[in-house]
Amino acid sequence: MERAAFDSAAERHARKFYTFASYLLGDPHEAEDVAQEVLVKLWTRGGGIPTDRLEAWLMRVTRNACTDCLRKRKRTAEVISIQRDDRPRADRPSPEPSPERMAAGSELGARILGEMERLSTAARSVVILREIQGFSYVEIAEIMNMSLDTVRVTLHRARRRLRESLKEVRSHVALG
Amino acid sequence: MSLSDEPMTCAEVTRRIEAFSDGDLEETTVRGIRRHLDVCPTCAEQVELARTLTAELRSMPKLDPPAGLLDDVRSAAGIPGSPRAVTGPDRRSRRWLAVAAAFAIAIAGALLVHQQHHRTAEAEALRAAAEVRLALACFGDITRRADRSARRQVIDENLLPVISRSFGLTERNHSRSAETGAPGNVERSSS
Repeated sequence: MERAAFDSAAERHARKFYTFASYLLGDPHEAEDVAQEVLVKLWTRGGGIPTDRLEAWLMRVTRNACTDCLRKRKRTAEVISIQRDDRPRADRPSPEPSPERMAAGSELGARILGEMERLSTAARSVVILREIQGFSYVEIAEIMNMSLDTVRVTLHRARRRLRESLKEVRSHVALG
Repeated sequence: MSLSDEPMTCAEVTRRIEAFSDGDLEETTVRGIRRHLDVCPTCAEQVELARTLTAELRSMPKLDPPAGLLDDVRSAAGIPGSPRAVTGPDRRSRRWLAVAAAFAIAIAGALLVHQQHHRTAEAEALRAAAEVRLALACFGDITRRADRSARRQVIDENLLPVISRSFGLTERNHSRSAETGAPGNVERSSS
């Protein structure tokens, strides 16, 4: 890929794939590693991708890199959990709020992000792409390599689950 | 049968909650749902929750990558015209050198454990760093970040002299090897 084309694509799309990785991973260091990996792939393999498909390609590369990162995290957590904790890291609440949770506009927003961590990776990805980043159903289907129906059903179930969680949070706040 | 003509059931409304909240329904369907919501507090609450959820998620900030990330990638990938385009060893070689540096630190730390008289603050810090890296190596999980940080630590904290002393070596080209990440020429100390 030419240097100018790389710079242009990186500056146009970096915010999108970094935002996606940050919300999906909930860890700024891992998100930065993923972003680096995506940019290196853009440089080495992005030359042959048509401009109108570049965004979807970059988001798909990001999704794959995040999936690898989560798998690696789970394997490491399983080894550590033998000594320290029975629960894998993905199921444990973070010891401190991540930057994007701190950046959430309200306490309610931060709680919703916390509840999102309980969703499956696919469901969380679809919610992030649709609700936070505003991608269309068609674009999400391409990024996630899913059918449109699967995107709709996944999103519907995820939203219903988040609504139930939101209702519980509210009732706890009211009681507290 | 038009949805606007017949009263809607809770199930029919529930199926359309997201589309209703997003404003994606036809006006006749919207009217039917509204009539149902007037008499069904349970569905009305669900719609309100859906709207709150959507509003909260859509107001989440879009995040910018850290400043300098692009420059780091340009340098690491050796992209022409980058501020610190790397020449010399390719990326794979540099990665192995970084791993070798991490192991060197780990071995130096292990030696320091056996040298009680060298328990200075510097040695303690080095040993702690070495133990962390040794643990990472045991898990077979020396990540790119760990490699990078190890390399940076050797450079930033000028650890090469300490490592060399631990091996009974004297250094000749520390500064060059630290800058390039390549092992410099070292000689065994005569003392």
